[in-house]
Amino acid sequence: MSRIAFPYPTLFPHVRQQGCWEASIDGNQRLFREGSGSWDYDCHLEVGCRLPWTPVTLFEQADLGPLLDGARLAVVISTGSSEGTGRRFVATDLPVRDCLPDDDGEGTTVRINLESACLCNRIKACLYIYSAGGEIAGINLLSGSILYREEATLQLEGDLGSFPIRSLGFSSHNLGSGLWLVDCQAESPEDPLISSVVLLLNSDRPEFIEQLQSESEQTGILRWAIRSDVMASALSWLLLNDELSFDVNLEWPDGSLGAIAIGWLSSLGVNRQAALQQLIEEMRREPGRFRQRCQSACALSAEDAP
Amino acid sequence: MTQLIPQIPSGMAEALLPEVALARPENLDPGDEFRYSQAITQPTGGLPITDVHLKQLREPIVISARKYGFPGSRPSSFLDFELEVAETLAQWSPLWKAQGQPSGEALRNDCWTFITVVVLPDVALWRWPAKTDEDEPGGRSWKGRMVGGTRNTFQRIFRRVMCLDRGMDHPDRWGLIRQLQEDDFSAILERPGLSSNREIAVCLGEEYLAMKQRLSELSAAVRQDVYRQATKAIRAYGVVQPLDLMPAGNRTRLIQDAFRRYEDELTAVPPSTPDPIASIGTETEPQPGSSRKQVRKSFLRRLLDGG
Repeated sequence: MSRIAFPYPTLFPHVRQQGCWEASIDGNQRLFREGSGSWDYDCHLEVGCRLPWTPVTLFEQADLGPLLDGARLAVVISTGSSEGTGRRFVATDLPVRDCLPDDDGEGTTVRINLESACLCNRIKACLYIYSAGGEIAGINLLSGSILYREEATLQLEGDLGSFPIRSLGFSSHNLGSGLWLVDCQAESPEDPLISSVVLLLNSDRPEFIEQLQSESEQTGILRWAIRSDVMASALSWLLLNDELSFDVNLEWPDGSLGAIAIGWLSSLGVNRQAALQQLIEEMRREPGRFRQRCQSACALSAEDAP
Repeated sequence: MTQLIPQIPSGMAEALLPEVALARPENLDPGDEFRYSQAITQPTGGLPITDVHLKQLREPIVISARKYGFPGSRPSSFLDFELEVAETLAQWSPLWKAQGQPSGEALRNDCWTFITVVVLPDVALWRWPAKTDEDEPGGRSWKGRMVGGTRNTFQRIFRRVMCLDRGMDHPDRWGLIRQLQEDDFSAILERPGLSSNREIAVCLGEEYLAMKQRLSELSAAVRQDVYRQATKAIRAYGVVQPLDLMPAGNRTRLIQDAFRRYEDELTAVPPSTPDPIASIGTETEPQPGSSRKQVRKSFLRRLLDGG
């Protein structure tokens, strides 16, 4: 198919490295692969893609100089619960000539502002460089022909800050009088975290819920305790359940329990299968020590935040 | 401030559906309070929606449904009813933000499960009655009408509004929704690569209507075949020329050309062929004129040649 689709000269073979996608959420910078943290509908969201090359240089390297003046760069955004029910729109579309080099002169950064209240779940950003038409090497290019394309996904929800939270009367559900419960249910590490983990807050303890809501997101002690408990509970559930066959070396879908677990494990210094086995052993023999390490990892995240 | 619509994750909805499936529509009136203890709200800012707002959605839809026989009888076609629902959804503010953009909540499947199963369960069951099977009340297909997704009772109508709105300034803003038929909506909206961008979907809908008029003397199956082949070609174009980024005039021309070229292929079949239309779709048997495969090959060749 690709031979039919791209029978003309393009920039693809000359791009050695894809762009680095990052989001600025209320001024906090995060790489796309790290998720969005505390994104919500009221956040100011700016998406940036730092291309490690300048379009002018790239066009020269690819011998496509004659197409440069008519070339355009665009970013198309998709968002929604699923492709079939979501929406897609053009976020920016500008002449390539207008993409100025960064101050270091080694790359170009494309930035777009998005209306958070019109997004949900995740955004898929697709960057295009396309031609307004022209002739190159005797080949007549149609207007709109793609010269380069890459895409990246930012998970807006489904990470540590955004699993479902429900209040429930514990006493009427035979759960005693605790404060909270992390409920994990998944059939596979591929299942979305958002539907695999629910944090239940005991509505019989309104003072607890009130205190939790009034705490600062970054420095609240209760929030810290709950964050680390969510991490410890979900990891224990995932790793101690043989039927789920989790592998730290595999790539799991964005927003899945497996993908989130990879991030959590990385914050515990576990990046290989051998280290994972040691951690599982520790979970079984010294669960208290494991939970303390989760607290430590969550505290680091909170302290790092401005 | 965004109004947060409660959500029912599909796993939880599964437990609720047998009760809905076995009920009669008139017994499912939720009254004035729209509550479900298992419903959740995402920690996404905004304020939980009030019952007053939910009532502003329910009331006009129930009034429309009554015009068409709810709850005791069902009309032969629901298109007019669904057009009225579309107009209600277009005006219900929790689904929209500034400049007519859908809100994040409107794009959440689980919110539509709540709207269907908690706010309007009686109308949903009237529209899509459940087959009462003892083992699995409702069945899988019916559940798809209740749970959020492309086939959900109200979310599919919302997608028509989101994708086929001709624009506030158009004298016949909802004309496409009024004129297209049930199968047409499926054909357009179930291809998100084309329909998720409103500008493309509207253009495609307009051309689809025009084609139906041009080929009104032919059977629906033939028109559907023309549509299928044309959209295949348009999507093939999309691989090298993103339709999202094309100037509106070029995009319209490309879509029109794709339809008309295939229509021309149909009419160009030699007159010696006894029934040119009947020959389409029977490629396993030897054809006296151009076979369907040959027609497609020639069509694709023209497309790739850009001629």
